[in-house]
Amino acid sequence: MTNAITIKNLNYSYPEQGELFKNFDFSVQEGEWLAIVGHNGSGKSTLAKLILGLLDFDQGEIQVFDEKLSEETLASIRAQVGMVFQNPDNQFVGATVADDVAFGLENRQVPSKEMPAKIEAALKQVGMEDYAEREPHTLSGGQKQRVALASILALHPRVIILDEATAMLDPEGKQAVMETLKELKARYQDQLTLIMITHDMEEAALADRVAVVSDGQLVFDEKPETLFLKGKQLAELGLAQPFSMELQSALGISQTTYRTKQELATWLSTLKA
Amino acid sequence: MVINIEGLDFAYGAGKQTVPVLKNINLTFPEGQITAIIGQTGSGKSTLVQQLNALLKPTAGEVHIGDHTVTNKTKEKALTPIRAEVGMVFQFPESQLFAPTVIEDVMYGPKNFGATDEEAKQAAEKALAKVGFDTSLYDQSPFNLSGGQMRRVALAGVLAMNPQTMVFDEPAAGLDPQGQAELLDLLRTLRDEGKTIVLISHQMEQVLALANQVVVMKDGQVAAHEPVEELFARPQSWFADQHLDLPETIAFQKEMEKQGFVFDHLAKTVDDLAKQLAGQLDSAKLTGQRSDQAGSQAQTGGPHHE
Repeated sequence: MTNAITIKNLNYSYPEQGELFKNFDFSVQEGEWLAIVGHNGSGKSTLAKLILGLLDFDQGEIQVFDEKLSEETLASIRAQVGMVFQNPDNQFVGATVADDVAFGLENRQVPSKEMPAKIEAALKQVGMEDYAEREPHTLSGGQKQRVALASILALHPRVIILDEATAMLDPEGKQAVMETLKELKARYQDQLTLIMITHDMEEAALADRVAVVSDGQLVFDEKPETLFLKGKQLAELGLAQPFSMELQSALGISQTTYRTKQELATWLSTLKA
Repeated sequence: MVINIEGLDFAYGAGKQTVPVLKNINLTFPEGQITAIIGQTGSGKSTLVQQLNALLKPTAGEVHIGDHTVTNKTKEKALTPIRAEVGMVFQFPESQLFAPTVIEDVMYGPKNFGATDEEAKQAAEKALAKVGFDTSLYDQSPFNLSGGQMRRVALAGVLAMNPQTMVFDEPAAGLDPQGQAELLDLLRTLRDEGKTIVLISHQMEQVLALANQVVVMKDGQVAAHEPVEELFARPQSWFADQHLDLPETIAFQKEMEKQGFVFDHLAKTVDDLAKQLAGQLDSAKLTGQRSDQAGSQAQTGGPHHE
C-alpha cells in the first residue's frame, strides 16, 4: 500500500501559545477515507494547514505521496491536495459558478477549448451542473460547498481535505455534501484519498478510520465501529458519541456492539415485552 | 424588555423592483424567555431578526422594541440607542474580530457607545469572565486563538454592552460538544437574569433543550408559534413539509411508536428516552441479549443495575 501522506517526527509550536505537535508521527494510506476528530483547539485544523504548507513547521518531515514538502515541492503538492474550508462564502472568486470552477483550471493553464467540458464534468460529479451560470451568492451553503468541491475535482486531486466543511450548513446542506462525498468515493475508490476534519460523529461514522487528536497527540486511531464503543473516553476528550451509542449506554446495554440508529430501533423492537 | 411585532411586512428594494421577504408577521418576544426561530434556509429567519434591532426597518407595520417604536418612517438617528439595547451575535461572529488584543476587541463596543476607557475595561473583563475566557490570554491577539476561544471573545464583545435583548444566530455552530454545552449554559444564565433571548438554530436538540417558545418560519411567514412541547408533538410529516428535522430523541420515539411502543411524554433527553423505553422492554430478553452480545467481554462490561 502506498502512503498518500506520511508525517514523521513533526514538531510545531503556535506563535504565542506554545508547543502543539511534538515528535508527531502519522500516515494516511492512498484511497483511505479518514476522519480527524478532536475538540476545538486540539490541533486538527493546524495539521491540515501544515500538510498544505499554509503553516511552517519547526522540525520533522511531511511527505505527500513520494514528495517531501518543501519550498520547491509546494506547488506540486498543492496540485495533488485540494482543500475545502469551513466558510462557504470565503472560497469564491468567480462571477458565476462555471467561472469559479474555471479559475483553478486557468491557473493550471488548461487550454480554454478544453475547459467547458471539464467544468461540466466537475459540476456533474457534485450534482450542480444546472447551476453553472448562477452567481455563487445566490446558492445555499450546501450548494456552495459542493461547487467548492467541483472546483477541486476539476483539477483531479489525489487527496481532498475537508476542514469542517459542513459546520456552517443546515441539515439539508450537510446531507447533500455527505451524499456527494459518498458518491465520489464510490466512483474513484482508491484513486481518491479523503480526509475529513469534523466534530460530527455521525459524519465520522462514514469514514474507514477515525483519528482522535487532543492537544497535538494522537489519542485513538481506529475504525469508527470500535471507536464508538469508547463512549466514556470520548466524553473525557470533550467529544460526543453517536446518538445510538448514547442511548444504548443509557439503557445499560454493554458497549460491545456498534449499532446505527436504525439497527438499534430494529433490535429493540425484538426485545419488546 | 419585550419586543412586539405587529402586522409587519418587509420587502427588499424599492419601487417596482421590490422582493417581498416577510409577510404579515405578528409576534411577541417575552422577557426572561428564550424564543427559538427555526425554518429552512431562505425562510426569512435572518431577515426577521434584523428587525429586532432595527438593522432593517419594516416596509409596513410596527416593531415595538422596549420603549421604542420602529416603522418605515422612523429616522435613522432614532435607531442608534436600539442597537445598544439589542445585541446581535451573528453566525460565526469570530470572523468580525479585528483589534490587536482580546481585551481591546471586547472594549470596542462599550467605547463606541460612549463609555470611558476605565468603564469599557471593567465591562470587558466582566463579559470575558462570563464567557469563561482565560484571563491570561487578555493581551493575546485574537487571531492566535482556537476557534472556540475566538467565539468566546466575539460573544463577550456583545455582552460587554449589557444589552437587554440578545439575538443569537447559530451560536454553537462549529463548536465541539463541550463548547456547545457551555454556550447553552450561558444562554440559560442570560435568560434567568431576565434578558429577552432570541435563538436562530438548525439544531433541534438545542431548541428542545433551551427554548420556551418556538417560531417556525416558512416562505417569509410564521408557520407556527407555540410552546416547544406543543411544537414537537406535531407529526413527523409536518416537520418533513417544513424541511425540518426532529430532535434525535423525539425522532427515535416516533420511530419506536411505529413498532408499537407507547410514550407518555416527549423525551427531552437521552436518559428520559431510555427510562421510557426500558419499562417496555422484556428484561429477561434484554439480559439474554446483553450476555450474547457482550460475549467474552461480559465480565468487564457486565449487566447494568439500576
